[in-house]
Amino acid sequence: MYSLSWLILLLPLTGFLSLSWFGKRFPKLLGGWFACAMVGGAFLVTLLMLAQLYSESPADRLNHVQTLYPWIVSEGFSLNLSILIDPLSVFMLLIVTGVGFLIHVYSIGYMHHDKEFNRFFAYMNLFIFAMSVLVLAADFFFLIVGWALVGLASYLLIGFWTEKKSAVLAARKAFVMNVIGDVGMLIAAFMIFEHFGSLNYVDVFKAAPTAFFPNDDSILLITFLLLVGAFAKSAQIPLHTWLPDAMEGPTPVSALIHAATMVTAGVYLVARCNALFTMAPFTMYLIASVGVITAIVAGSIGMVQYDIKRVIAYSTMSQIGFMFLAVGVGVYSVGMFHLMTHAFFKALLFLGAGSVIHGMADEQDIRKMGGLRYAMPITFITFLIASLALAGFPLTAGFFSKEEIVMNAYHGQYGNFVFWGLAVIAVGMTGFYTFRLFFYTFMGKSRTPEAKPHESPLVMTAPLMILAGLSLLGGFLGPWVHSFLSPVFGGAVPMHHDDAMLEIIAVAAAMGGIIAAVAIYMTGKDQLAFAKQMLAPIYEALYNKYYIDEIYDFLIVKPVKAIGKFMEERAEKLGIDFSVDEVGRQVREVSRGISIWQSGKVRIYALNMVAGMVTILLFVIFM
Amino acid sequence: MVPLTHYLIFSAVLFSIGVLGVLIRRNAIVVFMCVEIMLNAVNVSLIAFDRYLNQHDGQIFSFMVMCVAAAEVSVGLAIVIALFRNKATVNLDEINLMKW
Amino acid sequence: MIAAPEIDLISLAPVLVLSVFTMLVMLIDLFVGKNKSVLVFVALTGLLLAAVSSFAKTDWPVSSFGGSYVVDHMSVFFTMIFCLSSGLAILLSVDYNKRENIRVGEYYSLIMFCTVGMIILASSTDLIMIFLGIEIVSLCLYVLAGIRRGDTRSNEAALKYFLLGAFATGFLLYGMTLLYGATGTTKLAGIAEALSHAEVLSQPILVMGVVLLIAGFGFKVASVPFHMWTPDVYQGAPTPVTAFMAVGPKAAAFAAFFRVFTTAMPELAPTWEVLLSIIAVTTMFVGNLGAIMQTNIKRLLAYSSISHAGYILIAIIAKGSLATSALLFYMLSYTFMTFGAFSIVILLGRAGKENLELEDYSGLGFKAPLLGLAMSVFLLSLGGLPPLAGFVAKFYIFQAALNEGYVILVVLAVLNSAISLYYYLKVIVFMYMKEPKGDFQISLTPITLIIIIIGLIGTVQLGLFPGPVISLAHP
Repeated sequence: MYSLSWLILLLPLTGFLSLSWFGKRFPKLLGGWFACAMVGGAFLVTLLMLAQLYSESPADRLNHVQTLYPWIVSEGFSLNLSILIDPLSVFMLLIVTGVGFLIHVYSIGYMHHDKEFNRFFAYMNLFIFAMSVLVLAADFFFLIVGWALVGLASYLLIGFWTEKKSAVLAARKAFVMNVIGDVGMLIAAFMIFEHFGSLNYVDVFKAAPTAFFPNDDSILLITFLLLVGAFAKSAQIPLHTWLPDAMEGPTPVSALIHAATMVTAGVYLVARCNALFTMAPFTMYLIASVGVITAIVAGSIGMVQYDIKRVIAYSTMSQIGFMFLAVGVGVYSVGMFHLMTHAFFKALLFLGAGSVIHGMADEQDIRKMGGLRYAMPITFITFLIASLALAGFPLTAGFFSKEEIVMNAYHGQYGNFVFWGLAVIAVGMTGFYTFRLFFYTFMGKSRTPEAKPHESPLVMTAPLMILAGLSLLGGFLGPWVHSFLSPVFGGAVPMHHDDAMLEIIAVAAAMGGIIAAVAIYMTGKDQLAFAKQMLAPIYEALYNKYYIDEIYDFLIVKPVKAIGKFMEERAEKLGIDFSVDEVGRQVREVSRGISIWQSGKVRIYALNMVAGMVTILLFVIFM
Repeated sequence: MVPLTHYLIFSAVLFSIGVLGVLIRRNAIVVFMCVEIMLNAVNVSLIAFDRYLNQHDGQIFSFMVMCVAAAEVSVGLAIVIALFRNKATVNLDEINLMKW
Repeated sequence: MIAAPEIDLISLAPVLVLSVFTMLVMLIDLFVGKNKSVLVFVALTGLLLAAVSSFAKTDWPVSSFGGSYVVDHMSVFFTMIFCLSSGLAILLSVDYNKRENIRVGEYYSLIMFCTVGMIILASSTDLIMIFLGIEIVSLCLYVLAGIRRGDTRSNEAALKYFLLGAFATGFLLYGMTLLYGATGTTKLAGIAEALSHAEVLSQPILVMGVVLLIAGFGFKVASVPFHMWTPDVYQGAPTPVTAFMAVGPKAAAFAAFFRVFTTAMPELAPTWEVLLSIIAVTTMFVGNLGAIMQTNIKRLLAYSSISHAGYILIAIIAKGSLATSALLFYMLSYTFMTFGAFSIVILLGRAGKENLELEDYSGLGFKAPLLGLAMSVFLLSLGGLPPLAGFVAKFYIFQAALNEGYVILVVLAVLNSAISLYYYLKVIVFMYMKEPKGDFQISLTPITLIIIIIGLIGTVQLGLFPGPVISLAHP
């Protein structure tokens, strides 16, 4: 039965190959539905794997390695073409293929007018294939292969609209950032091979607990290098600047790659390598710190953006920060749980945003939107659900997962008060930027009356509704996730911490964020009436305190705006972007130098040879 | 009897003259002749080593070198002539159509 | 009195067969009329028979001619590579020669003579023979590079290659002379034996000799700082010759390089390991960084071939049996991907307009999807992406080096592979992401199609199922 798992890789690969070879000959819609069928098929096979896992006792569910054939055999090293089926990979694949399938279906509507409809689906299938390779890899080698392939797919999809210069630049930037990560991963793989003599997960993770002392130099270096890859892929500080730019790609791409699946690969990596990371408590602190800092910084930047997709992009970074916080404090399955709920509501948000952009004839500036609730009722309701889930409104999916993270930030193995405090602030920010976006887009009156927004077709709204259902109810899957994944994490099930005080504060923070957004963005003159009607008691209370807006503005909004602006303009543009650009510029300079050295004159070439030889000779003599 | 080192130093000097000629001269023919000087310098060392090692490999080697040098001359001059027909120059500094 | 060495012509079988057929080609050329296609058949038959006859001796390793010639698994494998690459080069030239009006008779025989030289080079264990082999190869290449006599670029390429090649030969020869003077023999085994004595090993002229040898071989394999002829010559030479130069003669030079350094001078390894490591690293960096700004596809591939020389040098540094098989495997996969890439470069050209700028590749992926795909496969394989041949080849070399403990070298090489992807992908970006500029008039002839298919099969097969070839390459 497990041998069927190859189909998970084979189906999207078939889709990619046939669409890219014969794409021109496929009728338009057929190509799209064909791609959907491939991903849907992969999802069904994954479900089959899930059923198969359930037919075994929890302890036996690990390490089902399926080998196709030995690929490379050389002295002291062999590499098999094999994949690993265990609860973690199946769990991740369910998200990848499940959410991927919905987004594929949605894309049929979204990309309907595009000339290169089939090329788009070819790339999308390539991405699903690459992501499956990454998740199913049974050793570090194929992990890196998948890691690089998803980078390639994301490069192709960000730059999909090649006539858009900003898109091409963004694609290049994402590529460069990801290559940095890939190199880190590669060196880590080399070190792992040096220490364990193998790249197999099974061998490495079995040997890891006895191979090192905790916080050994080499384990720290290995985990750190793995983290470089994880942070680059998951857009964590300081390797995060490619993600907002990546929003230049088509919106379904943002939903699939830059929200639901690829960017969370870093979290998956840490969870997968938990045996290694457990041996490096220092790295765990680093992960948690970077995670929580990213959550705050990205959240603060998200509060001042006006591009609908960039707001969601920063929110994605911030939420992945939460996931890293979770795995960093040692509760891996909580991180994976948030990964899942986040995949639901963030994909939904992006698809909703896509629906809005689609309906508004490619307008992305939220200042020009408003009042869309009448024109796009389904999008409006699903977007509201997604926003509530993202903000952590009680009993939505995001509430459960985020609550567990915040609790564990304090109570977890590596948790402490600082992590908790910062996490709570980030929770508050989440509520704020989410509803700021929501109010700008859907509430009030239209700010561009000439626009004729319209609801999207069923093929787009159906995935929205399914995802909305998942965003509402997905939170109740928590206990199942923890018990299902626990064999992978050495049988550990995260404890439920009954700490009402902390819980209330966290919920209050989320609500506070929402209320602040309400207070600031619902009190505009045109929105007054609606706000009174919707949130009358809160509104009354706020309205009566006459200076509340000004106080908010002075105490919260202005400083936060300043921080956000500072982070965006100074830290990002000048710090990281500059250094990346500078590296690229220097490389081109060197390249030009090499070219100019090549002057075309024979005598120069001969001189170069002699000079080189003399240098070598001198080197030998003085060595 | 002249000691080996004298031959070797002579050969090294001759070789260096050849190398310098290649680096300095602009005329393709002259540069090529300098290369020939280098080869002959090598021949001198070969014969000298051979004489002092009391062997025969070096002599055979030097014959091979001469054969090869002769073959190179024919090919080299043909190439120079072919170029001269198209470009009417043998100045190496002007022959830089392809660069960077 | 010189003792007459034992003469074992059987071990020379491929050389003899090929020489006979080469002369046949020249003779037949005189008697056939306008249609020269019969020459192609004769030439290919000769190469095929040469490949077959290399198995005339089966009890490897067989040493003959007083220890100056050897038939072992390395020389036989290399003979296969040479016959394959020369055969591909001849096939590649058929349409090109017709288009560019190149006189065919001597063209084919030059390629075949060159192959004779390469076989000698890969099988010799004597400095004199190695020198002869190198010169046979080089002389043929000088002429081949300049065979388009009416074309100034071709003339220039030939002249540059010739002058610098002769210059480098001087160094190589001087190095061999010093090695001979220090050890008293030209046989590689004898040199190794002599060097095991401390008083021989301590002579200062040895070091000089090693440096000169590195310079001489370094030129032939195009490694930095002796690489500067490569882009110019590759650009100016007729494209099939460029493809041929990038593969066959380079492989032969590497074979001799490998043999001389690993069999004759293991005692000096501490010295030349360091030197070659530095050269390998600079070669990789210069090749890859230089390629980034190139806009001419032939120059780009030339820089790429420089960087590949850097990777292959690692095999020499690693020594050992795994390194031998890695070297053989690398050269074989390099043959497939390079010929594949160049065949498409040739295919895009037209009489009077060769279409060598990257701009000319815009939109190829849409106009001719299968060609675009094939080109992408070749380029990605050159860049070392799994699961293609280039990846497995690099992997083996790196593995061989890791086993010997050259971790930093391997890390730098991997870093370089990452850099190299940039410019390979640049070509692919042109093919798939730019609007077509001109109209492509691609006339895909059966012969070119065969080459592309051979290249594709080789690249994919060696990537996915390297096992059988690896076991062939393994001693």
